[in-house]
Amino acid sequence: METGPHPLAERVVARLLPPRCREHVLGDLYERNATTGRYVWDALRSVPFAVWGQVRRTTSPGLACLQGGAVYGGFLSAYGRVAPGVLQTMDGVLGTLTPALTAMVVLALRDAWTGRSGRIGIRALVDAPLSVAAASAAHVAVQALRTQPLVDSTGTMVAGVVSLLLLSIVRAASTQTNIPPLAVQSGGSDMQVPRSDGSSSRLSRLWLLALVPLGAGAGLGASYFSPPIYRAATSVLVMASEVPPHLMPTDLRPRLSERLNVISMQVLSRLRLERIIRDLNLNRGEGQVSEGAIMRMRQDISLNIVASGERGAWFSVAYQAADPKTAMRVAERLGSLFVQENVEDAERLFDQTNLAVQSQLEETGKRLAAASAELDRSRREGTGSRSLAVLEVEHQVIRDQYRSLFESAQVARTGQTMERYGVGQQFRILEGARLPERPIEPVRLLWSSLGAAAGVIVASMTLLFQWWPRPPRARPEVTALPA
Amino acid sequence: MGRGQSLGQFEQIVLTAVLSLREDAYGVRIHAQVDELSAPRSASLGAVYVTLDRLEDKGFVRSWLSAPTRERGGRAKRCYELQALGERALRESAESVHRLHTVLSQAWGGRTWKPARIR
Repeated sequence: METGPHPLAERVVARLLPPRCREHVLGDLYERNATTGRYVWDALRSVPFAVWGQVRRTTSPGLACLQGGAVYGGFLSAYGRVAPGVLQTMDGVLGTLTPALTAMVVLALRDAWTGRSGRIGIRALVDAPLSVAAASAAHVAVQALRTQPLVDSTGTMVAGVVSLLLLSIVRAASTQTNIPPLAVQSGGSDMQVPRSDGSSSRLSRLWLLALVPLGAGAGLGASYFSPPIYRAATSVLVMASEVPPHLMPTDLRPRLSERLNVISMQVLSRLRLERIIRDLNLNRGEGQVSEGAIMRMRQDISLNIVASGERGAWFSVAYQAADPKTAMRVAERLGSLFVQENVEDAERLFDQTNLAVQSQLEETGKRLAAASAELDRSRREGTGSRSLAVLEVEHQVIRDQYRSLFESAQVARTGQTMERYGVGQQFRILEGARLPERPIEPVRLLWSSLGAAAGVIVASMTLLFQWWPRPPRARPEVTALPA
Repeated sequence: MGRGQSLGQFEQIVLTAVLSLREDAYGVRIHAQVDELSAPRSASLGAVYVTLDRLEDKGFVRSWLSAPTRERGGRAKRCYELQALGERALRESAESVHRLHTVLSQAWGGRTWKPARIR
């Protein structure tokens, strides 16, 4: 018969308990359980509560949220940069919230193990990298569940660096907050926590002032880790149609904005973009082009009408990418696609018009032939079911209709020919895409401003924590009350 | 007494256990006493730890580590002692329960109250 739990089981349970409650919880479990099986079962039921009790004592909800917010902000910036549209989807929410929650849990457990004094000194320097590493690992795990990662390794690294900077600021600021040590609150003899005095309060104010330039510096530093974005554009000139108005009715000449809309939809279709990705090897040799890659490419393409008038217009189609050569090649290809699609679209329009008019013409021709035959027969025989006058009127109407349709068919045919020979509304490349020399992003001033703003927010929140009324604690005069 | 100083039902039971055990109030004994007081329901040892920590934060009890003993595998006990603030809170809770009991007794026509049998 066993007289106590196995030492290994005891050692494992000891590792799972925060130091402050380890001694008495292990003692209680030992006293209650004579066998290893019962000991382990009892430990499984008690240890989570014991850990939670310590987490509750050492973690402030406000500070935990602030820390989670810092990591969330870091990952949000990475997603906002690489795939802003994804943030509204479940993948985006999971991708940003999971690291933040992981960091919150790691920091809460870390504080439970090291106590409130653990936020001061060398441990504070370990906590932020540790939790950010866990957050990044959680992010990589979430990304691994997808067939195509939303954010690549560089994005995760940028998110980690930004999170680390923000979290370090929050942790550094939180060490200066005057949280009453537990030893003072409860009078426990075994809790050694340094007390804060007036000098630390003054230091706290200095810290808060320093947070703004520190945040600006952190933002500037983070901007150097952010991947550069290059933008290249192809300018396209739209020349008005040279076909005389009597040869091409106005209803066959769509407005530029409508035409551009139609052509844009065709150019941005999955089929066209997939071909560009494959031709320019933008998916780095991967066989299948994912929907995410198509979506990202659509987001990186922009169309801008620079000038528009009666005699013509000028628009530019631009593409942005991390590589300047890629930006230039895609922008060039997009410009060519717009020109090509315009010709094909115009030809298609006249083809369809011509086809419709021809079929109507044929039908009307048959009716005219039948009416002519009936009219001739009536004239020859002098009799018929209907009077000669009615037949003549009918014949006249059908003949007029046929003439009108014949003229329309001629116009459509002429327009088609003219479009084919480049006399209609034309798109011509005015200026091909050039190799961009400087990146358009990151904007260092913007990053610095954001960092400074983050510093102001953290300082304000820290002040708020300092001034926020705390729940009533035991005071010496209260403990002196008669029992 | 402020909102943070009022007692929940389980806190009342734990404080009563600490009060009744006096010098012998530590984890295992408190849990056994709580189990007895809250019968027929049972409480886990972990729930007792969390509640004791909370009561300590409120200043209702204080704790210290005793010397290690052999029957505990060489581990120390964390002993708890009721503080003046805790006793006052417990007394107010008991008075509140007493008032409730009086009103209910009158409402039920002076009949002696008996707990319903659990099926």
